[in-house]
Amino acid sequence: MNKKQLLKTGAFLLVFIAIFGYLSGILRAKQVATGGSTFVLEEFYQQEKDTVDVCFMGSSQVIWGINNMKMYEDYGISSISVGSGDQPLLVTYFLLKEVDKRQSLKNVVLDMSMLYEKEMESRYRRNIDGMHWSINKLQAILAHVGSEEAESIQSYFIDWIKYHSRWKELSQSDFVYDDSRSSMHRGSIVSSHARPVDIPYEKFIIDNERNKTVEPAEGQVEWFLKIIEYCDDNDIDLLLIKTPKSNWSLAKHNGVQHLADEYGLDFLDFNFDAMLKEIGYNYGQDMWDQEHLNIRGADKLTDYLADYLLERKEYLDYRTVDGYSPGDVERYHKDYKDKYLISSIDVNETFSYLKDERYDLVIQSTEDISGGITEEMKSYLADMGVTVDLSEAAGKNYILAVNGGQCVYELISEEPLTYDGTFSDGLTYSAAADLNKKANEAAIVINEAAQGFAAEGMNIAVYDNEKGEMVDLLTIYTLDGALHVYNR
Amino acid sequence: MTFLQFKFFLFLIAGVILFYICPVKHRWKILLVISCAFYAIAGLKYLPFIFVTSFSVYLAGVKMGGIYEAQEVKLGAEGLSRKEQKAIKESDKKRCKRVLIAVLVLNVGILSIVKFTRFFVDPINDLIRFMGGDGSFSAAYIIVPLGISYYTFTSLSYLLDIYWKHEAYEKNYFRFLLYVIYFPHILQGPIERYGRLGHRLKEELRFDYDRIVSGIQLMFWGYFKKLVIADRIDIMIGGIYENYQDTSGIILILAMFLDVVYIYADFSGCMDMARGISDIFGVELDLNFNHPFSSKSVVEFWRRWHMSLGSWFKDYVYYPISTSDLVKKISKSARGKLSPRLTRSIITVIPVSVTWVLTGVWHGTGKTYVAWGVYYAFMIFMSVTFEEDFRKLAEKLKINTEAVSWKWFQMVRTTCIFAGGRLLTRPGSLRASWNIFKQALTSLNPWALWDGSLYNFGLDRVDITLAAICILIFGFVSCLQQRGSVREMIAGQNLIFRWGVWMLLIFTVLTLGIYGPEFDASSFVYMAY
Repeated sequence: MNKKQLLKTGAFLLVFIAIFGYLSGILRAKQVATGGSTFVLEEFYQQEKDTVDVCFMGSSQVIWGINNMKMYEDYGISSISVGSGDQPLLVTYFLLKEVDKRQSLKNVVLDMSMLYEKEMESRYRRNIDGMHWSINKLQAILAHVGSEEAESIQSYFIDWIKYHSRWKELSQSDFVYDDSRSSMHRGSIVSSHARPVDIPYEKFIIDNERNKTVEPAEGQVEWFLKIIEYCDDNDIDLLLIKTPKSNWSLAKHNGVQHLADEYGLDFLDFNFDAMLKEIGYNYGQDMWDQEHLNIRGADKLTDYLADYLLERKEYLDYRTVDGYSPGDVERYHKDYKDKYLISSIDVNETFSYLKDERYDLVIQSTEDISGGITEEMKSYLADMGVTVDLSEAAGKNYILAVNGGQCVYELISEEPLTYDGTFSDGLTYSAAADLNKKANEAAIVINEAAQGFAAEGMNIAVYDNEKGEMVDLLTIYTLDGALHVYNR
Repeated sequence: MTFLQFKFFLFLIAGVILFYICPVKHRWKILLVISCAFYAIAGLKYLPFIFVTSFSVYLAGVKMGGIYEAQEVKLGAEGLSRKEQKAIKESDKKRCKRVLIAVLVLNVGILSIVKFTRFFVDPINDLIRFMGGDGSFSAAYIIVPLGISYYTFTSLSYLLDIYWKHEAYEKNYFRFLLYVIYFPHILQGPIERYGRLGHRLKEELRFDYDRIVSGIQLMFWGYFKKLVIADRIDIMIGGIYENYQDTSGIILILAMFLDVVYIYADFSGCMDMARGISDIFGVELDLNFNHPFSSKSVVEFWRRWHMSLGSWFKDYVYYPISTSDLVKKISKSARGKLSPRLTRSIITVIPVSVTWVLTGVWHGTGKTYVAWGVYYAFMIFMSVTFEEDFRKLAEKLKINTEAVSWKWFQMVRTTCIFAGGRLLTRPGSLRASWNIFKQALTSLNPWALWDGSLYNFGLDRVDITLAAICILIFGFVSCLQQRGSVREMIAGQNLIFRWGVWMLLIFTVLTLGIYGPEFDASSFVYMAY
């Protein structure tokens, strides 16, 4: 080959590699649903070096069950969560090494769900593929590909082989990284929803399995022991926890406790009644499904863990560090408020959030709630410029429009009412109020899309005029003489 | 190992580097090592088979060649009468024939056992039980060596060429082994003659940058045809044929023609890969396809489709039978008793039938392939026998046989005949083939093409649109190829255009190809033969 041919070949290969690298990044599957591991990993990689002292690790429990911004704001502890749904302990081990390489951790708090969960290939790919190339990623691949279910080693090194067929599913998130709507802050999610957890008694632990033994899932113990060893060798305190989860059991607890005793580790299991009482757990409000805490539950758990950690060690108070930024604090506070609004079941609390300038409201009635109006509610409404006394509105139809925290329209009448309005950003809507109509017949139509309600009472549509999207649809209804909140 | 596996690319890169760092005169040895390694990686258990075939044929070649060389010396002696010369030739021919038959029986026997035993599992087990055994013989015990049909035919062509004195024998076993086991052509051909490939492998294999680049380009064109077109439409064809009972006739007809595109894209794609890989090493392989769908008759079609197999059967089966003593005897005895035309038909039908039934059996074992062979025997027999009648009929009907429209009609007719042949083998049984054919004609419903039914067979709208576009590109390039080398046309363009075309091709294959963990490892249709 002469020099010209060599140069031509080299140039062609360089162009090929550049295009290949770029397209690989686009084709690679991104986990960008709420709680997605893409956001978790990118948040970790964005942290400044040596600014994180505590890392919560494990499965989705540590994404939904911890509030790292609260850890910082209320206690000054710099913590992050690095985990993903059903993350195998092998992955946790190599992510721990990756985190510690950049952060020199003081504490690792490990949720123990995965000790008993079966491994699945997708759970490995989710996180290994998202890791930036490093020795730890290489070692994670080599450690995993020997197993029976693992995909080929070449598909890990050249993930184009795995993901090339995604060309049909590409979306904007494949081209542009945008976490502005992720509700994720420092690896933990600000989530909402209040679902009454359907369990037989006021605790999660199932006593009738007292004598049963549950074997850890194959392969998980080995990596759990490596995590212990790594923490030992690197002078990192390891704390084991189990967040509230309905499929946890006494047998599983005993298995973890046995290992904790053997290796001299503390294990906090929040599935016991006593522990749930201690954190102030509220049944029916603090979970968003059978397995994950929502922001309310996460706040309570975070408070407990922060106290626990501070009792045992001194941490740098990052609130006092000049120039330190924990993240997008403004976005966090907005997400936080939105999620507390959405998960609220208390009328007064709900109205305390509603008078935010960020919210535009459309309120209509399909049932008389005048008998339950509280003084606190009246006070919040008055702050918004509402003049109608709703406690005197028995048997009347009512429409209220609030833009930027201030009333722009209200009308009360015995006749059915309709109103065509505009939110602060110009988006149009129409509303109707008719006490004779059922909830599913009444709707607020926003930009030609009907937003239905699921209960009868005072219906409130909450619109974020900064983001330009609906935040909440809730109904205030009367039950046993008192007002309740139903969030759709 | 196939050309589609990741480890093959690593193997190829390592092989090419090793090849070109080696001095020119020893490169053939490296090529032999690479080819043996390729075969060994496919399965060590296959190696004894290919060594037995290559060594037995090599020895037979040496023996026959030795006999002929000695014959030359004997015939060169002075004072021999013509009778004595004839006697020497006949005696030597008999000796060579014995060697030929022995080695033919050995290797055809191995091929037959490997290919046909599974159809006799039940009778074999009955026999074993009759003899007191437990009758648990299974075809799973039979090893089917990689490319056995190809390397056996390659070897036998050499053997027959030596016997007929078309070629001089090879004295160096390892040179001969390289000809047999040469890895680019062992999976799916082409079935090379020793007079071409054997001699090419003896030439100096020098580094040629342009040829290597051209080879890589041809490889990727092959991957495009195989992975983007063939494997994609195969999903749909399989889906349609599996559910043919509930599928409308128009879609079944579409499937039949898609199957034609599929087999062409798959097979010619692999040929392009093989030729491209071989070009990288500086060894030119024969073309195996020459625009078959521009054929105006079935006879012409089989001169353009899988050319190496067609010419093999023509040279080693058809001509020997048609010039055999038996056929001459039949011809002689029929003359005078039957009309000349009928006599010609009888002496045509014998070699045609034998050739095509064997061709069918070469493609696959089972009734469907025998039926396929009979189908083509019939088509070719009719085409040859009634050629003159068809010409006269066209004249009578005042059909302008020079018109472009007539030529298109002929091409479409030939394609339909090929599609009919595919219908015999693709569905898996003759009953299914017949049912599909019946369903196609009796449940036509053309609206099924537009009512969304097409998306029920494994491909969505995007994939079908993509397949259609790629087939059009394939057709366009095929038309361009009739005017000359497309690679050379592109090479004559400016840099940005050239690089743009090749980058587009490479990334089309890498992105749109059917491969990877989500799919079964692709295998080639003709690799099973």
